[in-house]
Parts: sequence; structure tokens; C-alpha cells
Amino acid sequence: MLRPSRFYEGCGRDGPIRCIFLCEFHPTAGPKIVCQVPEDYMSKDDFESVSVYIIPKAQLFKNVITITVFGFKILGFPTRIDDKVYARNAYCFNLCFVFDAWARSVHYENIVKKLTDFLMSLEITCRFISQLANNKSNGTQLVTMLNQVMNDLNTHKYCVLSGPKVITHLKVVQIRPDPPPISDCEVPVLLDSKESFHSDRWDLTTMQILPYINGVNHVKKISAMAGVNNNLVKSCLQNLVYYGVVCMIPIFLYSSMYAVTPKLRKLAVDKKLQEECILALTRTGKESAQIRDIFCMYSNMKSGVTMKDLCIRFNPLQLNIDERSLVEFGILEGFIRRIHEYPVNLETSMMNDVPYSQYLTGEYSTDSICCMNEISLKQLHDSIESYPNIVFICK
Amino acid sequence: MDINPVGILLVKSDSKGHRLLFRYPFVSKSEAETGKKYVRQTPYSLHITEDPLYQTNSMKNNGSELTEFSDDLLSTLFAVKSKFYGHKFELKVNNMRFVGHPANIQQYSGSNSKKKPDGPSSILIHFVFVLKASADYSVVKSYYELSKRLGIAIKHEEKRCGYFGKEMKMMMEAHDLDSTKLDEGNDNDQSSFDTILNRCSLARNMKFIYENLCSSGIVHFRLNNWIEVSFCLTQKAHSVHIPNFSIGPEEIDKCLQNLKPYHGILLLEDILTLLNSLPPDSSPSLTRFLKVYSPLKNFQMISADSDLTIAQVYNIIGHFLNWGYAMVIYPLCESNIYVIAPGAVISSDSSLKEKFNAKFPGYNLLELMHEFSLPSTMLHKLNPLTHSEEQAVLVQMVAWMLRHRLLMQLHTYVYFMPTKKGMMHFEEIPNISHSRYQSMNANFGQNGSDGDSYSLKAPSDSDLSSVVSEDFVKSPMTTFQTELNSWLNMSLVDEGDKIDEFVIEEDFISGLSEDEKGALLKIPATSSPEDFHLLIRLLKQGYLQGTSHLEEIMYLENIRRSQLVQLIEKFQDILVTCECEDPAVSIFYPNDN
Repeated sequence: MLRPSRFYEGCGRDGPIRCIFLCEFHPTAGPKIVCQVPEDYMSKDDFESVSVYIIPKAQLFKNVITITVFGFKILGFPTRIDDKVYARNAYCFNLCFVFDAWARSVHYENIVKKLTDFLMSLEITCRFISQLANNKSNGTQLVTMLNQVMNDLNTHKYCVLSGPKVITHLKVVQIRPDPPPISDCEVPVLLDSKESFHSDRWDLTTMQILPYINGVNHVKKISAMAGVNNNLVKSCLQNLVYYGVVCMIPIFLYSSMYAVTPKLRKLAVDKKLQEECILALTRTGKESAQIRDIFCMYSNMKSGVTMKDLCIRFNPLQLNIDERSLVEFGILEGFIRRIHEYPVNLETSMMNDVPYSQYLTGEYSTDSICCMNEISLKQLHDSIESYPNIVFICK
Repeated sequence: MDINPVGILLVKSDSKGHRLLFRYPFVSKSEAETGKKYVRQTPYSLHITEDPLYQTNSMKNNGSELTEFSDDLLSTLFAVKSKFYGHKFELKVNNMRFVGHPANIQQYSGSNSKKKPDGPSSILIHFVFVLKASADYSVVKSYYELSKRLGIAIKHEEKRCGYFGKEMKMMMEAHDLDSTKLDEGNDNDQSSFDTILNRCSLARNMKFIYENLCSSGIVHFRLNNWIEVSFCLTQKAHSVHIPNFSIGPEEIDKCLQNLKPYHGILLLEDILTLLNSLPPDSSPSLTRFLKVYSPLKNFQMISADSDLTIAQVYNIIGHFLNWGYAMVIYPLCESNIYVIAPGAVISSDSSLKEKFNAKFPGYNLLELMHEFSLPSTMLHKLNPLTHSEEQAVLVQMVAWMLRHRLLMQLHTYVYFMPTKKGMMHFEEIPNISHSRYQSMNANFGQNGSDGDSYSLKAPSDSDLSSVVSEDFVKSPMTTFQTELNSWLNMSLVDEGDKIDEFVIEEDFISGLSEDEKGALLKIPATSSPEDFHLLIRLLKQGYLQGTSHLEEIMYLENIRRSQLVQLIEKFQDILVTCECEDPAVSIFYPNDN
């Protein structure tokens, strides 16, 4: 049976740069490729059919243009230098990257732009590219440079390019969706050990809050402990989430509830995951926890069962299970999700007599109400308990 | 989400040159140019400080306007070379994406033409959809499909009555008139596009398409009052019911593959509205399906009641899902466990609450949501004194909440974990029969399970649960034979012949480790042959590995819930149960991860 290819348009995968070519608008011959690596990747025929989009109309210069056709994806940034020294008083060129049609190319856009700028400075300072035809050594130098860019970016995602008097750094940066906004009551967890954290690569604020990220402190507490403005902490954390360095998890409370997701099945069948799990949540200095006990604890998590109930029932201390790590591991692996409680006032007309009434609309979870008002969950419960119209919705 | 189109363009190119015939939406001349503003793609992108040396004239389009693109420029871009005809054309400029299907049509000069008929001339027509660059691939593909369909419809109409020729002539005249007016200097506020929109039905159709894509995602009209063009932007169709939520056709295909005959559907639209919206030439099976439809029925029941094969039922469901008319559920029944869905909107002043009030006066949505905060069944909500009327209302309310994805169903999954080590290593579980899906497939009429095709398929199926036990590898039996045997065994069980079954049980138990055997035999219920046989039967079928929920086991093994629940209770020391949603239908719920 033929297996469908993993590479199809829309598969969302990254692909290698297949070819880099430089083309110019020749005063007599029109658009033509002056240099390409590897040679003859783009046939003359193919190039001519797409040349309208590579050396486009004047309005489209200095725009990132990607054309997908015939199984190619060509990414370019057409550029024009106006100067009297050129025939027609302008020199138009475009440096293009070619990918397979299925590959994602958005993250190469800035590289193409930067490389174009690099070539432009070479052109302005020493007529590097407009004189390629007359200057053999420039030609070979350009081929070497383009080869270097293609190979380095494909293998290392990084390239330092030096030309006569100019040097440029190119780096492929993945574009990911924006992480969700950070809330005060969430807890950041480092996904790798602190030792693997390269302190020189991060900004000062991040370095300042880093010691307080321990998987226990929530955002507001970190902000107070580190003496850093709350919003700054949040944007630092958002940045760290973006780069996959930390993950935000809900705050651990014995009063909180969790629910199982279909991913829990992985724990039952994946031996490697089981080992990891046992390692992560066995209490220090104790014998290894047993997988069935762990699995039982997870599978009993549901709306209406608090961590406290679960601990009373299973006595994790005796089972050598650290319940805090149990929850952390479960959340990070996606076995369980937190169930939040949302207090709602059913009687909207008598809003004002009720404490914290502005929060009782169903949009605020108990976590966030407590965090915003700096009260404990018990205090919140006590103060709204006597109102029969206030109910809790869990999700 | 970037599902809505930014615009729709029509470009033609023939021997007389190329031209942008129509664009929608267009900007009237009087409207001022929008201010140029630099918008960063993501907060993490570098803000490029512009150097006067590198003079730029880049079009800083803000992602929702197409004003920076002049008509002339657009027509140059999309009057493509003949090499592109009939291929997908995709162009991205900054954060705009253009997608279309350039089509080549033969123009037949109209009968009223005074010129000598000089054979058909060829024209390129290109319907281009303008999208935001961040639009998902499947969205882009859907728009491409629509462009293609429009091209085909136009081609047909041109051949039939020279429709496009006439429309094009009108459009060209309007453009020419406009440019002569401009030359004469008496500029009026009305642009040529306004004139075209008033006069040409094709332009009105394009406006209709654009507006419908933005509102419902469903486009249905007759081109030139003749040929029907019908299209559904699946991604949009589902977001009509749940804001900011989209399901792509690929996901629906995947979902369809995982559906079982015990699933059912819940229509998202009123059944009468649906029946009325069906075109007159629609398949009669659709009407038949809708007439017997009920959210209480599963596919098999619908198939039986409507006298359609299950394959046909699946096809119809595929249509309903793609058009955003339905979602898949497990049929409503008293024992279903429901809980508030994680993505549910809770708000004391939402429009949802008012909608609910209008439909069920006297009930409070939030109160009901509170009642479902803990996983509960409909049975819990009812008591013997409840009127049957109230009961019906409750069913309707639950259906309503499911439709609005406020509720989610939980299923019970069972894991066989005899020892502290957890589940037996699944490869060791002697699983002689995984014929259950095979037989189901045979019932669907999708593929017959004759020996050859099955033995060909066996290796690919032998991942997770279906690995043949070592015992059988040792024996010379082929997979097909074991398959047959298991069926025979099963039928023997039904006939009450216990001898072979006993042998199989022995086999199974000998596959267990000492610890596991000990744990199993320690349970008092093991001594009751009936319970023990049932347990072994379920184990052998691989149901107790967390892949099948109770409802699936009930359906496949034709046993009652009470029987199963009792069994689980009796063997609770070695069985672990957990409650979670059915992954087969989870695509219908917004997922915030």
C-alpha cells in the first residue's frame, strides 16, 4: 500500500532552502538570473513564467513577495537602487530563496530582507552585483557566499556572512503563535534545569526574576519577591513561554480539583513515560512509587474531588508519591487539567449588597478573585457563603 | 482567526490586453486614503528602523485593506501567463495572500455581433480571493476550490449563451466611460465599480459571494439565474454557532474515520429550516435521513429506520458536518454523564443566557450549569415525581447546551491493572480477535473481509492492541484462521458450549505472570464462572486497555450496562476506571491548548 507522503502542501513542516538565486533587470535583456546555487535549479523557462513577480512593477518594490506555483515556492524582496550611474538610472535586483511548495517559509522573510540589505550595501559601496558580468572574482565570491548561506541555514539555522568590509548575521527564528496572556495566579515552571539556562542570553529583568521561578511561586508573588513591576514580570514570562523555556501551570492548592483528559492513556501504555513519571514524583529518599498507585490517583481526579479528598483517600505519603509533583507532571504532560470554580450571582439585581460583587459574573475564577483581592479561598467562601443566590460553576 | 476574505477580484486577459474587471469591496473615489501605519507581524519581530539610504516605497498594508493595490497593479499580477492556466495560483505580498484558479475559456462571439464570426477566441478569467497571509492552509485551499468552481460555472454559461462576453462588455464599457470622464475633467463621485455593481449580475454575484463568506461561509446562488453554484467554507460554517471556533475539512475527514455505528448526531439547525433549505434536486436520502432523525438515535438505528445503508448514512453525516449543520454526539440517554465543557462561556450577562431564556422561559442557564458542574447524568436530575413534560424539557435543554458546547459528555474507560506494575504489557495480552472492527467494516459495506485481503492487512494492523500472542505465533495458524477461530469461539459461547471457551481461558491465564495470576485469582468473583468468563472475554477483546468506553463495549459485545457495571464492581481491585471525554468527537469542542 502506498503511504501518503508526509510532505504535502499545508503539512506545516519546515523544509530546506532548495536554491538561492539573484536576478536583475538587465537594461536590454529584461529580467534574468545572474547567479544561482545550485546551478540550473530554476530553468530559464520556469523563471520567465514567474519573472513578473520577481522583478515586478515599481509599486511592489521593497515588498516581500512569495509565489507558489509548479511545486516551487519562491520568496523574494525586489529592490531598486536609484542612481544616475546605471543605465535607465536605476538598478533593480531581487535575491530569492526557493523552497518546496509544501514548506513553510514565513520565518525566512526577514532573512531575505537582511540579505538583500547586505547585498545592497555591497552594491552601493563597490558595485558588487551590477558588475558581476565584468568581474569574474566577484562572481565566484557571490557563488561561495550564497552556497554558504544555503548550507549554513539548512544545517545550523544560523550563518555569519562576511563580504568586503561588511559582515552580517543571519538566523532562522521560528514564528510561533503568541502565548496567551499571563495571569497573576499562575505559576511558572522551568521546563529544563536552571543550570542549562544560559544567563548571558537573557535580559536583566528575566535574570532578576529567575531565582524565584521554582514551580511554587505564582506570578504576583514573584513580582513582590523580586521587586519587579508586575507587568514586567508578566511580559518576561510570556517571552519565556514563547521560547518554550517555562510553562505556566495553575497554582497548586489542596482545595483545587482536576479532571482527566484522554491523554492519560499514554501513561498506561508507554513504559518510558512511566519511568519518567515515577522518577518525577517519587518522594525524595523513598522507594519508587508504583505505577498503578499513580495511575489510580490520576484516574480518580474529577470535578467535585479536591486534592484534599484524594490525599485522604490514597494517602500519597504512604505510597511515596509527592502529590505536588503528581499534579505538576500531570498538567505538563496533559494527563489532567485544572477545574476552575467560577462563583456566579444568579440575582443580578442585588449585586451591590454582596461582597466582591463585581467579580461574581462568571468571568472570574476563585483563583483570580483571591489573587486580586489578596484573600484566601476560605475567606472568600466565608464571605459569600450566606448568600443563597451565589452558586459555583466548575469547568 | 483569519477566515474571512479581504476581497474578491475578477481579472480578464485576452488579445486586447488585461484588465481588472471588478473588485469587491471597492473604495469610492471620495473616500480618503487610509493612513499608512507600520504594524509588526508579531510582538517579537524586530522593528526595522528605516534608513534614508534604503529608500522604501513599501506598501504598509495593515492586513485588512486592499487600498494600496491599484487596479492596474492587480490586473498585471493576476493576468497570468498561459503556463499557469488550470493550476493553483498563490501569491503573497507582505501580509496579503492571493489565491485563485486561472481558467481559460473560449469566447463565442454573440449572435448579435456584426463582425464576421472568426472562431472562438480564448480569454483568461481569474477569480482571485484576497486573504490575510496568516490564513490557514486549509482555508486557502477552500478558497482555491471556490475560485475553481466559479471558473467552471462561467465557462459553462459562456458556452451556453455567451454570458461572460456580455458581462465583460458591460464592465469594460463602464471602465471606459469612467476614464473618458476623467479625461474630460468632470469627475463624479460614483466610481466605475458602482456603475458595474448596478448593471452587471456577475458583479452582484461577486458581492453576494463576499458578503456570504463573511457572514455564514455558505454560498449558494444561480449564476445568470441558471447554473447553480454551491459552496461551503467549512471553517466558517462552524464558527457561526460558536464564535471564534473553526473546524477544517481535514479534521472532519479524520473524525469521520473514527466514527462508530453507535455514535449519533445533533443537528445544529432547526430541522424544518434544514428541510426547506434543501435544493429541489437534492438527494431524496437526505430527506429520508432528516425525517427519521433524532438525537436519541445512533447511526445504526437511523440507518435501519430510514432504510439507508450505513455507508450512505455516513456520507450524509459527512455532508452535514462539512456544512456546519451538525455535530457528532453519543445519542442522548439517561445514563450519559455530562459535565461543563472546559471551553464553556460563563457569564451572567451573555447573549447566550438570553437566548436560553427565550427558548426555555422560567429556567436559568447559570443555575443549570451549576447543576452540571459535577459530572452528572440526566437520571440524576430526574426523580420519579418528575412529569414527563419536564423530562422532555430537560432533554431539550441538555441538547441545547451540547449544541452550544456548554456541556461535554464523559465516558468511563476501564484499565486492567492486576498488579502494582500497572497494565500488563500490552504486547503480552493474548488478543486473538480484533475482528470486531473488521466485522463492523463488513457491515458498512466498506470492505469485505475475505481471507486474502485480511491477511494482507494484518501486518499494518498489528500495532498496539492487536499483536498476536506468542502462543499463536508458535502455532502454525495464520492470522485469518485465528480470526475465524475467535469468531467460532464467540458463537460457541452464545450457544452455551463451554469447552472451547475453557481452553481459551486457560490459554489466557497461562499468559499471565505469577503475580498477575495471584491477583486475579484472589478476587472472590473469580469463582463465579459467569463473571470470570465475561472478564476474560472482555480482556481478550482488548477492551480493558483504556481504548474502549463502556458504551462501545456494550455495543460491540451486546451486553447491558448493568452487567458491565456489576462486573467492574466485582473486579474493582484489578480494574481501574477513569472518566474522560471521547477523543473521537473532541474536535467539536474548542481546544485552548
